[in-house]
Amino acid sequence: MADDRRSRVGLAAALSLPATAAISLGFLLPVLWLARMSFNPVDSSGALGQGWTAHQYVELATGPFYAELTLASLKMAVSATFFALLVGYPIALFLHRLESRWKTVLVLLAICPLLVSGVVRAYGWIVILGDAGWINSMLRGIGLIDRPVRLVNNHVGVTIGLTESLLPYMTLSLLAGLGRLDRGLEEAARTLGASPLRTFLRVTLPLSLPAVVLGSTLCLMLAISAFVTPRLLGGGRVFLLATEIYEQALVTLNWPLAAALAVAMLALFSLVLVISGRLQRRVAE
Amino acid sequence: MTSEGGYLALAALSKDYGVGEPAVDRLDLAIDRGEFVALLGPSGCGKTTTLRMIAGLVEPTGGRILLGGEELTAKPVHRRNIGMVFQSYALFPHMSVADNVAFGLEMRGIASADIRGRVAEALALVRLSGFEARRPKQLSGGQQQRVALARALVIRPDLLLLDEPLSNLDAKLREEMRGEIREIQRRLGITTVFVTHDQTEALALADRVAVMEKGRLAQLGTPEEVYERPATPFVARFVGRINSLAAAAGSDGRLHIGGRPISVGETRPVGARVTVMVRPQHIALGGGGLSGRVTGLTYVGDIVQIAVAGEGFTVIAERGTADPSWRGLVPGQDVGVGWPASAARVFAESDDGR
Repeated sequence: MADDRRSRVGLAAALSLPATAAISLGFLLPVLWLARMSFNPVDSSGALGQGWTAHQYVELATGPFYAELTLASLKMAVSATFFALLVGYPIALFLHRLESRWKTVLVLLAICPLLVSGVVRAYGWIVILGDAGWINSMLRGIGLIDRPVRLVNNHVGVTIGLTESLLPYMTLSLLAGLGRLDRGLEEAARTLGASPLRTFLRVTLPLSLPAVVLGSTLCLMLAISAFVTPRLLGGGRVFLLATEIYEQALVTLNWPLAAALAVAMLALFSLVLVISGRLQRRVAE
Repeated sequence: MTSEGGYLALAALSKDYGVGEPAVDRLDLAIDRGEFVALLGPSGCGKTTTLRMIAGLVEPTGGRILLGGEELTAKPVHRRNIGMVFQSYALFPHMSVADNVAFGLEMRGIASADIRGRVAEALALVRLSGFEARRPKQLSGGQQQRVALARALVIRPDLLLLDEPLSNLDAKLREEMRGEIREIQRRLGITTVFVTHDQTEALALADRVAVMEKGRLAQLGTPEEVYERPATPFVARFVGRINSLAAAAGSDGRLHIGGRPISVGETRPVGARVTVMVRPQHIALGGGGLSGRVTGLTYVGDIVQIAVAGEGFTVIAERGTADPSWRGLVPGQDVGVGWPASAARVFAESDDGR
């Protein structure tokens, strides 16, 4: 018995070897390399120097700009995740309850935006939200406004774009997490005298909280690291961690600072994960 | 109260999903106050749909439901005051046993001090005092079943609905819970409708059994009536084991199988083809008008089944193993086959929808 078990553990280890190797080479090594680079000095000409310095981290910790950046990133991510949850929850609940043979088709429809590149989707939003876009033309057409409402090149545009890009992920993770929700439980609540609203508040919602935490965690991380949508819909006027990393790495060419920012973002992710893990355990009670 | 009577009255109740035959087809049923009625039938006969319509979980496409003379048909589920025990128990996994039982009382806005007392009372009724703080998943199947029962009873419902509540329990526990449910139902005098596909369960528990077939009521009667005087061949076959024999009426109107007259208490017009049904315990071996040959014996413990084949018929006779008459019978042996005329049910062949 013990031998059998040991050999099974050995087999499992052997089977996971390729994945372990791929993750080590493709993810861990580059991250370590990035971490190392974040300590490289930059000389006055902008060239990458040898040796070790904590200069980048001192700058991150002391420059008020970076604190603001982090806060702005968090705010943006939280609000986009919140709106995605608000829109995605009813969709997921509807799909979960659907017993039609169209269910698969509708689930595919819900996630098909993922088939279109983020760049294309961002430009699509510019067409819709721009000063001469559909929404402004329509509002002007019915005489509600005479000057266009600014819906792109600011935080509003980025939030709308991010929400839309998070929506498929949110819907899918909610749908996966709603498995525990049994229609019979809601019916039981109804026969016990709970109105539809109270049934939702006392049974449906509490039982779906693990799904909510799961979906929100995923979307928060995606939103913090998103950079295409903020860059295109922000029009260079919305400053976030992800756009700053791009700026430092490809425009200013200060790689060590970009690396330090990336490491800071990883730390932020870990924090989100820890909080989410705690929440997950609490709501799974 | 309506003139046709009944505390719970279903009048021409129908549910048509729009595909195939209606799930429930113009069902009429009247149940007296305090009565325990079993809806019995094979899966797909509409018994669960009927129960769910009474609960309000399925909207009827026709007919009416009256409870205590009051129209229930259009009332939303949560205003019906009907206790229901689900097949899966449907206990709220995120609440303790006490909170599960308290749920219905909370929804009725009852003061929390009273709730505590009534929850304790209900848990005592199902012998689960001391389990208040447990979570449903920490309980065994039988205990979960009891919590579900307590939760349905604590609201003092006008009607108790049980949807195959015993089907997820093992055989021994099922028998125990059966007795317990019956006992509690008698003590509280609560009108109960019980859905089951298990005829033993239905006969053992119910005051009256409603046998359903294809969305319609095939027979409503006491367990004895349904078992001993089945109204249709379907009921005869579904409730208990029974032998079916094809017979024809001879020139004198008496029924014959394989050219030999058989004993039934009635005559039919010449040439009529009928199905004669006899319970296996009523088959007499040794005497009687038919002759056959023993083809096999199956020993099942409390009974033994003796298969006999003759010209134009095969029957199975059953004997209690305490009865020594079957010992000595061996396959290949010739025996006479008969039955008391009162034990035979005769159905026109056209009634036999098999």
